[in-house]
Amino acid sequence: MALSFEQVSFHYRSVWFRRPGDWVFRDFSWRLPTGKTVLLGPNGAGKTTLLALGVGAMRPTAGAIHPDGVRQESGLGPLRRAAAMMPQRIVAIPGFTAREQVAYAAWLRGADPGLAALAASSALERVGLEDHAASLVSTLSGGQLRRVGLAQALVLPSRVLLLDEPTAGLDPAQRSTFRALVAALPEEETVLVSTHQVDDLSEVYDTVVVLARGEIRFEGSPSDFLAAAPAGSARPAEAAYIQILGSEA
Amino acid sequence: MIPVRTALRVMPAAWLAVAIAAFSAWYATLIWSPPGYGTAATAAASGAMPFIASFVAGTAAWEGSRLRRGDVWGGPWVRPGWRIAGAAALWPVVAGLVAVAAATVTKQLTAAAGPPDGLIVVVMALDVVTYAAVGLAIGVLTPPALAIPLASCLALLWLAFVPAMYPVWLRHLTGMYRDCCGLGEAVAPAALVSSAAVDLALIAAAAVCCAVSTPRLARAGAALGILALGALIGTRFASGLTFAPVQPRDGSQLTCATERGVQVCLWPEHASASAQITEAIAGVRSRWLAAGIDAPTLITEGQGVPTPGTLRVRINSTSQDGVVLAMATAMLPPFPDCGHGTTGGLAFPYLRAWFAAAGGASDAALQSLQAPGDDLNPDVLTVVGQLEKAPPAVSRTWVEQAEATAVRCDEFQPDVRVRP
Repeated sequence: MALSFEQVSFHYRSVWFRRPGDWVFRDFSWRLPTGKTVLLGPNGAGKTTLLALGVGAMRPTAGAIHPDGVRQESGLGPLRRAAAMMPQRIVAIPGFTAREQVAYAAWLRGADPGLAALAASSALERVGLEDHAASLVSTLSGGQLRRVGLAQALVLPSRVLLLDEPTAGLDPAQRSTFRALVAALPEEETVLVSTHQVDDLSEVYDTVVVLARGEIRFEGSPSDFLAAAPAGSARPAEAAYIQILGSEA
Repeated sequence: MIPVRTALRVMPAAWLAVAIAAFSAWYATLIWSPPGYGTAATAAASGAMPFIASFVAGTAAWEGSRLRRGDVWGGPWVRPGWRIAGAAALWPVVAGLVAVAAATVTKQLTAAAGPPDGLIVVVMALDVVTYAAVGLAIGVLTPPALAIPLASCLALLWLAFVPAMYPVWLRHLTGMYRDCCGLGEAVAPAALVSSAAVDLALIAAAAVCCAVSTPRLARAGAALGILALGALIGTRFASGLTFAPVQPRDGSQLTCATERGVQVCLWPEHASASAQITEAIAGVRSRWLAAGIDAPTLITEGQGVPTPGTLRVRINSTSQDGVVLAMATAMLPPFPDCGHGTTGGLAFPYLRAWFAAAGGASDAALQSLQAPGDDLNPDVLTVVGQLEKAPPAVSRTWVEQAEATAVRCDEFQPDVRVRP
């Protein structure tokens, strides 16, 4: 199930006034394909904004965003039902255990309370956190907290899964575990992972996308991406990234 | 939806529900209301609202803070914001409603009153929802360390201090009905509408403030506009009332009986003691006539505009002395409205004491009416003693003169001496 962005324009607004800020996207059209896609780009490229728009956290200033087969006519409801997002910052809800927090997320996403409790247990098992289901989220480590975030995103079936910097702040072992979790997601799911980590792209992802200044600068398979690296590069993924972005990297 | 088990573990509203209910029930019993009158008992129970509202607002602010700290509020959820807010505020609201029910039921029972007044209960419930909404909004919008004390204090100040401010009708915007009602009074619908309008405006303003997708300035402006509109509507209804949110009770509820040429009309709350009261009233009137005091032939608990030939009494105690004192008070002329504060009303205690003594009040009851004398004003009981020894014609003349003196605004030294 792909996610389509059609002539999307977006700018943030001042929190006090309606005064618009700079454009993040202008007439941005793109189709997120089925499978696992990694989204690369420098800070300020619009990665987090793209994911937030994709999950219906914000309304585009112009244009439309919709999963295939679901036409967005009005409101953000259809998009929110179709997509799920793991934000960059996972926050513990004060006083809640991991199971309670994931079940609450399921309820927030529309599940009945009974179903939410069952789905939470299943999601925690899926991310390997079943042993910590009864632990307060505030007592979990950074890696465990990330897994709670992933469980929140996975707790209900969704057509599109958006993960924002899921491995930021994790040590190499935790990053490896997390990549394995993403790799284990079914191939027919549509997954978009925003990250600064360019290692092991070929092992996990079907598509690589490079975004800069609100525009797609590259979209292709990992092998096509690595092919952009100058011959003989010691770290081909990084070299390809720098080669594609040039001075914007 | 937050499961009950989770709520019981993490929510102060759940932990403290029993405590606030018990406190509210106890506090409601401290407020006097006429025995047996359901509306008055319910109104008295509303005296616990400052504590209930403060509790509800504080615990709702706690839950709002949880939504804020957990990055829940404003997230890309399928559930609409009002459902999320409703689920978070559910336990504070439930705890508040339990406290309202505890205060009301306890007061109704201790006052031996009938069923509670449904409209007052509905407005108290609306108050609970209102303070939950306001508390939740404060919790969502302000840092936790500030939110909880701010919400609690605002609710307490609004309900405890505004009723003490001038103009006196301001209190009716808050939903406090503890000054309602005597037996002859019913709660004024204008007071209920007034506080309900302010409540609805507060709920709407809280909702607008939490609409995070709208710029803050627009939210603040809209919220202020809504509050101003609510205050305007509330004022429109409240400004016609005095300090008490009351209107005369429906007179069709009176039951009348005739005894020794006197027609006595009583409220249903006095039905069980009607024979005793009627007998006492007839006896007082007989003694008054013998003492030279002209008394009406229709004596009613119904309130309203003074009518010649009708004595409107407020009987708070059905004992002999209670009836005599109620009739003595009812015999007094209307208190003069003197803007500059000088009035002949100083003659009122003498008149009242004489009516009571002539009506057969006990010595103990008369002693309770004693006012301290000075060089200009003799002791009340001294005057009463002189009148008791005087013939009826002297008493009649004294009453006429004292009543005329009592309603004058330029009377600095009322002359209440008995002249043979």
